[in-house]
Amino acid sequence: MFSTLWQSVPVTALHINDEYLYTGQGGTLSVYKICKGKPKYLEKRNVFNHAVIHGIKSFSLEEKQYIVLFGGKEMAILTIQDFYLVCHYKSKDWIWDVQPITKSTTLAIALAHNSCILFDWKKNEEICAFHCSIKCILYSAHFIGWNWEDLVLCAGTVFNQVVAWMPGKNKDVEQKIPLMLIPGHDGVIFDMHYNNQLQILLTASDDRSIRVWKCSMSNGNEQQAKCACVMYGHEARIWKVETLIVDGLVYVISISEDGLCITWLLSMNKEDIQFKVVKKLNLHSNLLSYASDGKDRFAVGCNNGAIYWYSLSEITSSNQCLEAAPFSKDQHGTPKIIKLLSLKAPSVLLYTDKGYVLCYDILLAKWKVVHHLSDYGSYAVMSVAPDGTLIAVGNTKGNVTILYLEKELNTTTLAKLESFSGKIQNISWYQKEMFVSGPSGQLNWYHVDTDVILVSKFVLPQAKHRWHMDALIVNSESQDHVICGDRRGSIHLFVNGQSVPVCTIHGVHGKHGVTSLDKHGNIIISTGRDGYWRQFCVNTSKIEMLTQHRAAQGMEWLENIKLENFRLYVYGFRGNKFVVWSKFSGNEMFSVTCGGCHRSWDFSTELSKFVFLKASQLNIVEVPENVFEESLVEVGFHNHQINCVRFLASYAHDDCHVDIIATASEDTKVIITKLLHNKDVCKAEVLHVIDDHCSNVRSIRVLTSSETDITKEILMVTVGGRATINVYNIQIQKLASNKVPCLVKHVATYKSGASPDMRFMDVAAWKSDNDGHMVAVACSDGKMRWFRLNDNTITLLSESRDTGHCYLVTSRINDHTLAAGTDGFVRIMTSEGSEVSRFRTNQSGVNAIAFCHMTFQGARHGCLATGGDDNSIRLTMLKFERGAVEEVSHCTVEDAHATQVTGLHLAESEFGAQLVSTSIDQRVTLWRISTFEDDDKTSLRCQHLGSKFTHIADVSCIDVIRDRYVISGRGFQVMT
Amino acid sequence: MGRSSKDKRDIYYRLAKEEGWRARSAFKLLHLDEEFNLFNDGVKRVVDLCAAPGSWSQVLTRKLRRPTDNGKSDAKIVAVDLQAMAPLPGVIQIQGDITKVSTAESIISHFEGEPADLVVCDGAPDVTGLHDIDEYIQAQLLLAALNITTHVLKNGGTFVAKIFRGKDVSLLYAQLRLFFDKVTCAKPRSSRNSSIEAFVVCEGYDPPEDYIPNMSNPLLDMDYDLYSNQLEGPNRVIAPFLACGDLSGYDSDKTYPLQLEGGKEYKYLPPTQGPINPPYKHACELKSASQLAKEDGLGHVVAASSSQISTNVVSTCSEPAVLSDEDRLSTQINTVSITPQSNDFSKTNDV
Repeated sequence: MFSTLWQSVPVTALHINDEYLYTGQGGTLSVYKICKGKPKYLEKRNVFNHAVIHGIKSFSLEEKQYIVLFGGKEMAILTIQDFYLVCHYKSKDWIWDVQPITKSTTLAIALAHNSCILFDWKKNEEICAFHCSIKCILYSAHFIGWNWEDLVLCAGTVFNQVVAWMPGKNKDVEQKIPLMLIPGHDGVIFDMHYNNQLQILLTASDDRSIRVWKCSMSNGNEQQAKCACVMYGHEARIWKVETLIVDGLVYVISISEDGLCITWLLSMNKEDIQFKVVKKLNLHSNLLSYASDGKDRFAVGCNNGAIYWYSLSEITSSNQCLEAAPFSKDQHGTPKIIKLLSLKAPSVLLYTDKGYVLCYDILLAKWKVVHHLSDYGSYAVMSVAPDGTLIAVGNTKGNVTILYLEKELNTTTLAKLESFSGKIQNISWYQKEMFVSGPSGQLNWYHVDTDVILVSKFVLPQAKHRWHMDALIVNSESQDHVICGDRRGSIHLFVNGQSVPVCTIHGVHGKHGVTSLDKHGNIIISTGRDGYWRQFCVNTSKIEMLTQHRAAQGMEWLENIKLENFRLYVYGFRGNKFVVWSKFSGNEMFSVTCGGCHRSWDFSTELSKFVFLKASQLNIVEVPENVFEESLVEVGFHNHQINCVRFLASYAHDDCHVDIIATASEDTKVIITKLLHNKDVCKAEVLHVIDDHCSNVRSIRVLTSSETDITKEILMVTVGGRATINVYNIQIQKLASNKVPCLVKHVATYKSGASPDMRFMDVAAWKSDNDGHMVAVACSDGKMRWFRLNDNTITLLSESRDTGHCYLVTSRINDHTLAAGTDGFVRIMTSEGSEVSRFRTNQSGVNAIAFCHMTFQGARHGCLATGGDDNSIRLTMLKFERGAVEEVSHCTVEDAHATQVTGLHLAESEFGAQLVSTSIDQRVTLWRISTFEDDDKTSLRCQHLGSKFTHIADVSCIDVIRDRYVISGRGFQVMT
Repeated sequence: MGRSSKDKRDIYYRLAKEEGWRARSAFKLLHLDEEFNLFNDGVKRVVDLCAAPGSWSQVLTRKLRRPTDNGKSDAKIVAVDLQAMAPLPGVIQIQGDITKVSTAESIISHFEGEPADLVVCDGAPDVTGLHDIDEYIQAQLLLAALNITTHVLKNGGTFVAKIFRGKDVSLLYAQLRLFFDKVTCAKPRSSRNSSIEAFVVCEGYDPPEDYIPNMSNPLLDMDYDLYSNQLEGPNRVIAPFLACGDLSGYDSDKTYPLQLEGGKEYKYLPPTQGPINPPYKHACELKSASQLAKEDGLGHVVAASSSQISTNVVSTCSEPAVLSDEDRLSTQINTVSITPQSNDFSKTNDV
């Protein structure tokens, strides 16, 4: 019953041994082989049924290698070769650390009440147990040494101090006197690390500081530890800290809940220790686990399931920055505009305020005057065509000069256009098409080849900043369409021959403008100075926005998009830095402190250069070759609790099975994930991250519009905090050959202006009689609300009276809306808001409802299951007749779970119905619903068939499609 | 978000301020009393464990310190906490560790050698966000409270304590059942539906015959066994559940307007008691003074062709990866903000 196909849970343990990386997620151990410096997945094995792996260590004995895993009250030893389970130990108390003792079959186990056990794993028995005289609960423990006699246990107590004691010393004394007490932190200590070579102890604490203590643990003498340095840099709790010594330099690496992985460099003096921060990596998730190979490589594990892999030498190396050789500013003027050119050699093209076009050969460090535009002054716009041979320069008088640049840097003037009678605002290229903006929104389209042809003239709509920023051509239905993004933030669609746009999306990128447009297949991607990139498609003279996405927080100015190995990278600015950001990993791949966005710059991966002007100086920064090499080993999902999970599709093709799943989370995101299973492996791929909600997303409802063997179309409704509804149209292409397996189109948004503090807790949706859809929403202000969705608008139709209690769940059942809330009542209502029926099913909050039809007393009735905060499941048999609903029978399982029931799924079966329930107690339980005769009365019965423990904490929801189950909470799990 | 937004989100937080309670958890004890009649006439000696900031002690004084004929109140209330707490009239405070015998002796001495009639405990440890660890540490706190209770509670007395309803809660129920006739899991309406917090009300203290109270070894939670308390089977120790508090009262999950129907005119009130020194206080001060260690500034361009500019990643005050765990765990004002940066969220996260 319930075998796991795939799960994503926090990465709680990491370990590197030789060429292997081991990870612990829930009770599962995974192994990666490190090939060419990168971990490659090999296999996984479920070790603990109930405990979570919090630590992994390896050791060898008599030339055999072993791996020891521990977490909770369990410990297991496996052979490294074939994962043969040598020993599985269940302790009475929580295990904080385990240390194998050299040349023996024993290991020391540190327990949470400051005691220590010496354990023989061959015989599977405890040899002896000792206490420290200071008895209290610990938040961490760390063993120092490999011999039992001089083993030191550092215990991080509830009283914010470290107590170091020696469990193996004076074996006749049961209660050991501490070797040293190390007070000083303002909070409990979560991790400790001792470096024997340097004789320093590092402690990481709840007080957000790392302290470095000078002390010698190896001589076994009582002494005082001296605090040599206090390091504040993290903004949340610090979970792990370790030293890494490379080329004689002492680095400290710390990871924290704030998402930062900080590399510190220590400089050791006789008395004190100085530190500086060398690198702050922001991984945007709670970082839980860390491991290094002791040389250069290290891995970081995240709460959202992600695993990152870094090389210390790579992350600490700085950008190579070249300063260009100077040129005579008196003679040629001050640089204004720069562009990178790939000619014979990497070069920079530069325009000065005296009208000179110069070219700088980066390798030879030599300048050359390419051209002099004597009638051009300090203002000009310059743009280079994609092939690098055509340069267009425009001036204040409306002239555009097009230069043809040969390999030898000789230029010929191809054309001098008198485009407008006023300032040229912008010039952009799309292949060989040139777009020039002039005064009053005039936009000319030229085709540039051996000669220049004016193709069409357009006029942009009235705006304060009325010029285009980028434009491209889409051929649809034999007509040439021009899509253009302007400085006002609007996107326009022009048709060749028509001067005004046929379609405009006004101000879609905010007031600061669109920065670029790109075409990928049929999808157009725009970037803007509002921190978003957006996807569009063109349908019969109409532009439709599909989705919008934000880059990293703080990246408010996006410039461009690049697709590399099917992954999307965003170029833009964060404060005073130019940043290349990866959508795939959420990481910054490259960044330069260039001073910010209001300057001329260019970036080229082909030339491996980033150039920018700062204080009229040309700066050239080397871009590393591996700039697009991702440090992500396993992809992460949500950073917080998942509130709802739904199958969008589940289908087989070839020898694989595909599940497409949507998850909605407290972290404001909805993620669409594709899981591809074949015989032994399951691969997960994030297809879409929907970021339209500005508060938590509480619920998802999915309606299938159409389905064939090759496509599926879905309407997806999401609701959440800040009284928000979003609706999407999703097209799934089932054939593997299709490059876009899942196309998401945002359809409509609703936000309540009246009460923005209200939360939308749950949603039901159905097709209404006339073309549109109906949406029922359970609201936190004690009312149900009904909306109509027509095309792109959502209108509030009606609302119910205030029950005085927060609604939690809702569902559409037999033309009625059913809803339940924190008062334990189920209410059946019409879409006009009037109550048809009401009955109490639970003592307090109803967290889950499920419904199916069932034959009862020879008639077809509705069977309703409700799961409550009160641990109970109640089954209610309902009779629907002429608009009325009547309760026929019911039964209650009072202690269905040990904690609140959070998810239910009910399906009719041959013996009645089958119910699956989930709960915060982390059990998934299967029930059989049947009927039985008792004193001529038919009654309902609910039988427990079996339970399965899950490693998903805070289970919030279950969804079922045929024989596949998915549950969500702190992570998600697919079972069959 | 304005300062009144928490008042809109959380009705009991607001009511606590209006009624002068030090924390909104006061309502939880009041709701428990409505159901279990905890403060009946027979209750003369009460212990409040992990009492800071003192809202439960406030409830105890208001409910039990009834003036008698000679003008003196009758019930004795002893509040114990590791940290100092602002004085409360009528409450004897002991600053001490509940795992020490000396603390138990000190309590008894205040009762002139008599055992207590009622022991309450609303303690919650600092949470880590790792569910299994948090649940374990909370269980250990509850068992430490139970351990000291076995030293001070009279036979037949009542013990009320906060629990987290997590994956192993049935192990705790099994342990508590050894000491009490009746163990109930109670959820006051002032505790949010979404929170895993609940309270165990243990009535009729009746320790096993051979049990001798012992502080030198901690009471541990129990193991799953094959028969009575299975990990995955149908047999489990589950305390009966009881929702407490009147349905017609306020709903802690509901969104209320600032101006309540039939209520007084809304006025913003500051919290009765500010947060107690959190462990991250110094880090917060450094952060607001922009003194947290930053990545070493810009490199210096020295000469043509080989100089360096360092790669910088993120400014210190960037997006926090963590929200406060408030919704899940917190019941006291002093644990509201677990990460100091939660206020900087540009996106709001409604709780």
